[in-house]
Amino acid sequence: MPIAFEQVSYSYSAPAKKKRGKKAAEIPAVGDAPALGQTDADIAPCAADATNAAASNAPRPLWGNPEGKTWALCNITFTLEDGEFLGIAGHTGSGKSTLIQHMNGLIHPTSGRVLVDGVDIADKKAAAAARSNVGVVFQYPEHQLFAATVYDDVAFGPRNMGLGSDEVDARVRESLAQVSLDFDDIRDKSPFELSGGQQRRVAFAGVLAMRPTKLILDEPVAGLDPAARNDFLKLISELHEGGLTVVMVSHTMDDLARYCDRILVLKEGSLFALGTPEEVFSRASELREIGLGVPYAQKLANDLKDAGIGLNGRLYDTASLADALAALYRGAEGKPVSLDGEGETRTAARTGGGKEEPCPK
Amino acid sequence: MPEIAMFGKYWPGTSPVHRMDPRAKLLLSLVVMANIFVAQSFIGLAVCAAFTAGFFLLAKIPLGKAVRSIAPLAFILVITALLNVFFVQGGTVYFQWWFIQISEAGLVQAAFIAVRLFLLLSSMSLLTLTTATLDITDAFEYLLKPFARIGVPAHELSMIMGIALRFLPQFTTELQTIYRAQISRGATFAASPFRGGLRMLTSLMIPLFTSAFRHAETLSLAMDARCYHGGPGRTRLKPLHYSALDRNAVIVLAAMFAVVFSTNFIPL
Repeated sequence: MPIAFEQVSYSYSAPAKKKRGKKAAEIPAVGDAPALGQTDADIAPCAADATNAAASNAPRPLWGNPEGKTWALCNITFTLEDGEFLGIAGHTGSGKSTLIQHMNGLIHPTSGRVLVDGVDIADKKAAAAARSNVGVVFQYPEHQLFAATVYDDVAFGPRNMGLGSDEVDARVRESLAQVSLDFDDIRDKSPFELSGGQQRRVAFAGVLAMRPTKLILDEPVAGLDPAARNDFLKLISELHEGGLTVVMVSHTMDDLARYCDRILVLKEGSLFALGTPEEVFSRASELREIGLGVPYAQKLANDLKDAGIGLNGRLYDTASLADALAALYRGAEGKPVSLDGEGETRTAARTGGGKEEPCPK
Repeated sequence: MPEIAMFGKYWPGTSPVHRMDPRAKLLLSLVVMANIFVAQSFIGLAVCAAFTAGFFLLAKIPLGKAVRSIAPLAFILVITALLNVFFVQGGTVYFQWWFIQISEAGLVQAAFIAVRLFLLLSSMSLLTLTTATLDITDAFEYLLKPFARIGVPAHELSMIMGIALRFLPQFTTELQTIYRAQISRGATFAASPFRGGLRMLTSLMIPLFTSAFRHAETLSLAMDARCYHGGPGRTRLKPLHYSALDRNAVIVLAAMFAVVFSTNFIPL
C-alpha cells in the first residue's frame, strides 16, 4: 500500500478548501486524467509565490524560508513504496514536519492530493483508517506519555481502535518486546520514572501497538546519547527488515546514508532531490548551498577527489573509503603518484593511504 | 486544531501609539476607560466611539484585526446585554410571555451597556495590541514600585506575569503537537466527555503539565546560572522615558474627558 503525493502544496495561511464529501468520493483514484487536470489549475499559486519571493530583493534570512513566503510545501510529487526506507532531509523550516503530517491526514494539502493505497485521505473516514495503518512518531515522543502505567500508555492506541482486551493485551506484550523492554518488569511502572531512552521506547511501543504497516519517524534519535542512538537506529532497521515501511526525518547525513534506500531532500518546501543516497550525496556542493552536509566519509572522499585523487564518485562509507584508498595506495606504491603532479596531492594521498595501511585486507 | 484567537495579541508597528511610553499607555488606557464610564448618554458614547476609532486609526491597526481581537470576549457582551433586556423594566412593554417581559427601558439599557462594553474592550485591547508584553510588565512593575515599601513584591509579580505571558504561545504550540500525536494514536476528541472522553482529555493535559514543569525547572536553572536575584540593584537594558508623545496623549485625553463630560449636560 504505497502513499502517493500528487502535486501537494500546503499553505498555513490559506487552509484547504472544503471540497470534500461527495465530490471527493466521486473522484476515482490514481492516475485519473481529469482529476489531475483539475489539480493542475490549483497549483499555480505557490509557484507564483516562489517567483515573487525571488523577484523581490528583500533580505533573505540565513536559514529557512524567505519572509513573506506563505507556502510550506510546493508541488510535492512522489510515491512512498512498500517496504522501502525513505530518508527525509532538509534545512530547518524546509517543510519536513509539514510533509510527514500529510502522510496520515493530520493536515490536508491546500491543493493536490495524498493517496494512501489509492484512497484520497482528504476524506475523514479515510484519514481515520490511514491512521491505524500509518504510525507517526513525533520528535521527542516521550513528551507525549500521559498514562499512570506503561501498560495503559501503550494500550491507548489499540483501545482507541476499539479492540477487545485480550487483543489489546497481546499487542502491548508484542510491541514492548519489539522495543526490547521486559513486559513483566515494566508494565506497572509509571512512564515518568523511567530513563529518557526507556521513555522513548515506551512511546515507540505505543505507536507500534497499533500494528502500522508504515512507520513515520521525525528525528527519532534527537537528544539521545551515542549508545542509545545506536541501539535505536538498530531497532529501527530491525523493524524495517521485519517488513515495515519506514520514513525517517534526520539531520544526520551519516544515518541517512547508512540506512535509507532513497533520500528525499526538501528545499524551502519544494522537492530538491529524490534518489538513492549515492545519487543525492554526489551533489555535495549543491547540498552545501542549501545548508546540508554529506556523510563524513563521503565528504573526505569528495575533498580527496577534488584534490586529484583518483576515486570514482560513488558513495563511500568509512570502510569502503578505507578499502578504496588502500587499493589506490598499493597501486601507486613504487612509482610517484601519477594522478596529479602536485606535491600537495601526493601528501594527501600518502597520509590518506598510510592511515589505512594497518588494516589487513 | 483551530488557531486559538488571542485577545489583543501584539501587532507590531511604529505608530505614535506604539512609540508611547508603556507606563503612560497603561495609565492613560485606564483614563480612556474612566472617560467611557463618564459618558451617560448615547451622545457621550458616540463621542467616546469617535475618539476610540481615532486611536485605532492613529495606531494603524486594521479594522478587521481590531474586531477579531475582541471577538473571544464577545460572549460577555451578549450575556450582559441579554441580562439587561430581561431584567430592566419600564416604558412600553413589547413582549410578554409567562414571567418574561421585554420593555423599552430594557432594550435601551441593553444597547447602552453593549456599546459601552464594546468600547471598553476595544480600548483595553488597544493597549495590548500596541504594546509588547514585556513592556507592559515593565510598566506594571514601575507603577507598583511605590507599594514595594509596604511589602508588595512588585518586581516578582511583574516577573511572574511576564513569564506567564511569554509561555502562552509556547504552550499553544506544544498542545498542538501533543494533540496531533494523540490523534495519530487514534484518539478522537469530538467524542462525548463520558465514555472515554475524559481519558482523551487527560492524554492532552498530563503531557502539557509535565512540559510546564519541565520548562519551569529549566527556566529557573537558567535564571540561577545568570545570577538572577530579583529586584534591588537591577538595571535595565532599555530604560523607560516619557516623551512629547505622552504629553500630547494627556492633552488629547483631557479634551476627550471635557467633551464627554459636557455631553452629559445636553438635555435629551
